[in-house]
Amino acid sequence: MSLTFETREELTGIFIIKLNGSLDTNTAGSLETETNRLLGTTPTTIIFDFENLDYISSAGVRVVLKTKKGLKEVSGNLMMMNLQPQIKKVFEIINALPSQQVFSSISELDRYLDKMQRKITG
Amino acid sequence: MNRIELDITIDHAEIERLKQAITTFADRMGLKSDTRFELTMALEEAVVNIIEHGELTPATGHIHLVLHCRKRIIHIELRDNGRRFDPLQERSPDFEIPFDERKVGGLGIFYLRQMMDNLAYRYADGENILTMQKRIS
Repeated sequence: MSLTFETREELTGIFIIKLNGSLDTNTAGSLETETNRLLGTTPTTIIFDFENLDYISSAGVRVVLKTKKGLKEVSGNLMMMNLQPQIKKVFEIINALPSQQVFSSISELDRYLDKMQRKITG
Repeated sequence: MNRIELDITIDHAEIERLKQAITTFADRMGLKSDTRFELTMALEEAVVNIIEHGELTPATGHIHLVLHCRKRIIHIELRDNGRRFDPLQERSPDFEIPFDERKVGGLGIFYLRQMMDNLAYRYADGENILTMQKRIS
């Protein structure tokens, strides 16, 4: 199974990457290229939207962890949303899913974006 | 048939074939999505580990997988002729350290051990032999 993803800049410096398919040994590299590209722009937030992600392996988890690390270096945030139960479990069993890092609903995402927008516009 | 066997060569592209074989097996057994996911993930991790760290080449290396289901338990045997390596002796990553500070690695084996039941390892006749069970939920 393959992986496709689509990145959109929701607000200045806030990127949502929507993934589709399987994030595994053979596809993790293409996502890492994308996250490295985004990290190069000094983003404030990268949000992974996992709604259409059916599968993840440790190679995929590693890209998420590296992205989180890269964001921390530029004082940015990593967020995740729409995790299917199995994928949620994969993050939970390594203790890598603090609740403040997961949007449980679209309205929570909207509130976050509103807050960030107020920050930007002052 | 409640059994499949698969010969895998030392090539990352083989992971796709592995997954297809597991899907076929899972369909036949009517496995639910959580069991299916965990079986696939564990076997991807185990096979990738052999491909990446077994010190094998496509010419010299071979991996043989058998999946067999009996009484709601999937019995799995994975053999390879790579470097002698007991995944059960690997230390787990330290998850108490905040994950930004953790060394990224050792994750695959950790997941393998989490997702499978009753793992056992032995080395015989130049082969690593890992046997595992997965209870069907």
